[in-house]
Amino acid sequence: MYLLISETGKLLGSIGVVVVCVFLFVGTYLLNKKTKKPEGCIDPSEYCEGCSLTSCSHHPSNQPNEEKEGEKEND
Amino acid sequence: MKNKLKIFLNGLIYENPILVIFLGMCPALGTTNTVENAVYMSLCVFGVLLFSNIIISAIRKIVPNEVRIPVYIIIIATLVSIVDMLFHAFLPYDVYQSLGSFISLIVVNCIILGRAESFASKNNVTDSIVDAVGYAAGFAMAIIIVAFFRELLGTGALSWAGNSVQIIPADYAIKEFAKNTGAFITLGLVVAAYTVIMNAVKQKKASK
Amino acid sequence: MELFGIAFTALLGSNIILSRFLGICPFLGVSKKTSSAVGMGLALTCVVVLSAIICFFLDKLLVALGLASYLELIVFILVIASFVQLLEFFLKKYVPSLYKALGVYLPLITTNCVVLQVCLDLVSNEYNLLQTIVYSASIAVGYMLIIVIFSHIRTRLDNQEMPKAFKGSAIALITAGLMAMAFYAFSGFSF
Repeated sequence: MYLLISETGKLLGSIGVVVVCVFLFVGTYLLNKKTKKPEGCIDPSEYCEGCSLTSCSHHPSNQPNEEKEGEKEND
Repeated sequence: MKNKLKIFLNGLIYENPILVIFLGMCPALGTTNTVENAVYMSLCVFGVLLFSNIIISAIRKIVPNEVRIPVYIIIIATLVSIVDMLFHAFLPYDVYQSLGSFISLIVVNCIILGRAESFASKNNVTDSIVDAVGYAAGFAMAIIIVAFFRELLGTGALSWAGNSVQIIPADYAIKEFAKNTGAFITLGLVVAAYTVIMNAVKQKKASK
Repeated sequence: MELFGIAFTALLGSNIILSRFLGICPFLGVSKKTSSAVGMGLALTCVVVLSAIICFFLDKLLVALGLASYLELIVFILVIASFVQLLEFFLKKYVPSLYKALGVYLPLITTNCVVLQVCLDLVSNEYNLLQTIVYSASIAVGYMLIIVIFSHIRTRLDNQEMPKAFKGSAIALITAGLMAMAFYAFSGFSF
């Protein structure tokens, strides 16, 4: 079953697998970001006040129509 | 220098990840059955957070905005894999067993990715190191306090690497505290106590 | 019978929230209203089952390439995240009504450790495809069961008088502790 026997083959194979995954991720990320949310959705952002993941499509910085919320200042 | 202290205290006290903003709660419940586990878990989080903050703030100007998130995830996942293998090699086997998958699950821990996105991607390397140390210290403080009470009340003893000191006679120990009920209740009580202390401090500051 | 054992243990015996302490952040965050708890639970069920199936085949592929041991984590997390995004895109674009009901919770699932844990479990337990489906579905239903029960308790907690410091997450954690004590009764069964 082991297709990649040599160490170099394994290395190249693993790099290839990771690169494919990254492209998959970036592709779906952009695809998702470009699509607008349908009208009349509930806004779950009240649940995630503390969360600072800007990749989440509910994050204020990802709302296309609303003004961008200022980033948290450390003061 | 004052700025650095502010960044540090922000993570340790004012925005303590576990006790104030409730992020990354899973290890705070799952690895706090003994102080030893909690210490090793904090060490693990510290290592991953420190290196992810350093790497991400060092490459922040090179990485294009579109691939930011996947790059962060790969960096964090790689670091977690490294830490996992190191712990597997050097930690006592029973400790590694009881930390279990909580080490792998640091990948999806909101503290690490959250700090990467909201701090390390915008600040220089030194500030990011201070920030990582502050947040890791805040995490460690919270889970070690919880683990201390759980171990003390649950077994009546405190132990480290096989040596244990019996503080409360074993007959008077409340076994529930070492089990999963105790995890939730102890964390709830610690959160409430922390809120009381912080409110008192705020009032004192306001009255000055 | 073996499948029943897997299902029972995953669902009640060692429940993913109450005895394995996973997915606590959304458990505390999304349980303020019953409707959102149900939505979150259903969305999580879809994602867990589908991503478990994907990871099952992915693991077979990695083993065949001889790369399984050290790439598992990176590949799984990226593929799960991509899958969740793809699902979100698909629902937004083609089934907006379903997106309104369930899709809004999908971004919260990306960082939910339950999904990753299920995928890691099925590799370490060496489940076959049928066992994988049963296991992942039971874990997800167990998650949904607890979060829905908990949201019912929580809506009642809102009107109770209590010390100010306990309001919010502190009392929620203590309530979850009492629920864990009740569910501890299930952990004695073995099949």
